[in-house]
Amino acid sequence: MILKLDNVNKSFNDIDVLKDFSMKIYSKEIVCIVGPSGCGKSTLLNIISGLIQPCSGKIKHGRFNISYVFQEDRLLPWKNVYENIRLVNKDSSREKCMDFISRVGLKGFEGYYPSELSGGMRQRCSIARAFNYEGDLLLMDEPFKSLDYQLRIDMINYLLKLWDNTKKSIIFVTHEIDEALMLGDRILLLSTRPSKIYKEFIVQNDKMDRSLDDSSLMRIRNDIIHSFQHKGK
Amino acid sequence: MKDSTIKISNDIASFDKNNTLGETLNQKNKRTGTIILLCITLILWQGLSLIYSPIILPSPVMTIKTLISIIRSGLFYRETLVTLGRLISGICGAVIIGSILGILMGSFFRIRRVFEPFVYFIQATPPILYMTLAMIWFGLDGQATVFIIFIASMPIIAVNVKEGFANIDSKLIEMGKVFKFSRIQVMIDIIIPSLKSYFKSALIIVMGFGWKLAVMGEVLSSSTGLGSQITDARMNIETDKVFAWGIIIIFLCFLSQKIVASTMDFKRIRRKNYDTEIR
Ligand SMILES: Nc1ncnc2c1ncn2[C@@H]1O[C@H](COP(=O)(O)OP(=O)(O)OP(=O)(O)O)[C@@H](O)[C@H]1O
Ligand SMILES: [Mg+2]
Repeated sequence: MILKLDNVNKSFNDIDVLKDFSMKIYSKEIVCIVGPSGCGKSTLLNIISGLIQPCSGKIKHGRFNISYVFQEDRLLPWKNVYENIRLVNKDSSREKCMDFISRVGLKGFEGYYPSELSGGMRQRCSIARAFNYEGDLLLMDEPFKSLDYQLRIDMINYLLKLWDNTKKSIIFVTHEIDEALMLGDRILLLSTRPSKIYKEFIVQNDKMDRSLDDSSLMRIRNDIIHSFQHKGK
Repeated sequence: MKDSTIKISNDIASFDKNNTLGETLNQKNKRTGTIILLCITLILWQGLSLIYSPIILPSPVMTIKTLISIIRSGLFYRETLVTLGRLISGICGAVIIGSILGILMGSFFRIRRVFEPFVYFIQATPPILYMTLAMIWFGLDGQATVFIIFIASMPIIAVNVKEGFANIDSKLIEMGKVFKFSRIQVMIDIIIPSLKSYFKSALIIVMGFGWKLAVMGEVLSSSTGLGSQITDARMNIETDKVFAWGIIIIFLCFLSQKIVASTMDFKRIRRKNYDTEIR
């Protein structure tokens, strides 16, 4: 286990966002988090990354670095793609940065500034930046939104390959159930605010070799959709 | 006589207004508008100069002739360099002290509480008051001029830099925190670039303001620099020279603002092809 949340509470002003939220993250696993919009997924990632403090509760983890793909790209407007990616890890070589850039399909755009990129391209730049940082835990907040279908599949495969190489834990927030089914060892479905883990699904199939046509994945998929309709009730 | 110089700068100001208004029109229309206005001004000027004696209002042709002879003589370069030197010393001082003060006020709440009223106090005081004091303190040479440029520009820089701090995107600071940026890296890569546009606009304002103050200071207190030439012209009742120096000053002011604006632009100069460098 590399991270443990114990009865974490978080409220903004009068809104309770997380209530008695507990969760464990084990090493080498990918945990996908799905849940209704506004239920507190980004808030949860911000608490884990230490950007915001919970009102009460405990967060336990060793000394580790966190890579974070924010929900917004958060690129520096005055740095180009290459510089934005390089910036977070000065030790990484140029070749390595260039490899990440071409892996996310931004080859030829190294010298472009964020204002000259499309939303999806900025998003991919932000993904490459998080990869380059090489944290012990990777937080991804809807990383593949605004990417087209083919690009999404490529990115999922690349993420799996990267995971296979490094075996770092990943927390992956998404609204796409199929993404969660392809990537997750566990899928956590959150309830509406105040948020709790409404249901946990365990996917046993080998991550590196999954097909959405597989009957067991189909069953989980239906289960998630069914639970979604009843979430928080 | 001083009114004449003011009149010219008013004319230029109305040009400027025309330009900004014209921004909605296309570039060509804008240019034609400016040219038409220039022609009207010149015709009016010429007409009025026929009515009044050249001591009151010299004709455009006479002014241009004087202007050319001033530029031909070594006087132009010498006096311009003197004034420019004072302007740059005053503004450099203001930029250094103003930025430090602005950064301190932006970063520390306590410092802001102490210094903010002080800075606004300095800003609210009319420059002529500083001028009077400076003439008493520093006597009748260039120092008084440098001092008023400094004291009038410093609060503008400080307030703008402080304002820039308040508008830094906190999400970028958070990003720096997550990726464990050092304090210096946060300063260099996030804070300073965020302040850049605020700093730039402050510098442009200060440049425009600075020329006017420099000339005013020199008219009142100095026997060198562009302002002193205007004083001389006034004493000899050479109105055409007042006009000619006025045009020179307006041109220099405009030019220096343009230079600041263009050098501080976000130019994509560092675009390299990283890919070819590998091979
Ligand atoms: N800084 C803040 N101040 C006040 N309220 C906030 C703040 N941040 C989030 N909230 C509230 O917390 C709730 C959860 O927000 P959060 O961004 O975590 O949702 P989310 O699950 O990520 O939603 P989405 O799927 O749309 O991204 C929302 O109701 C939001 O209004
Ligand atoms: Mg969110």
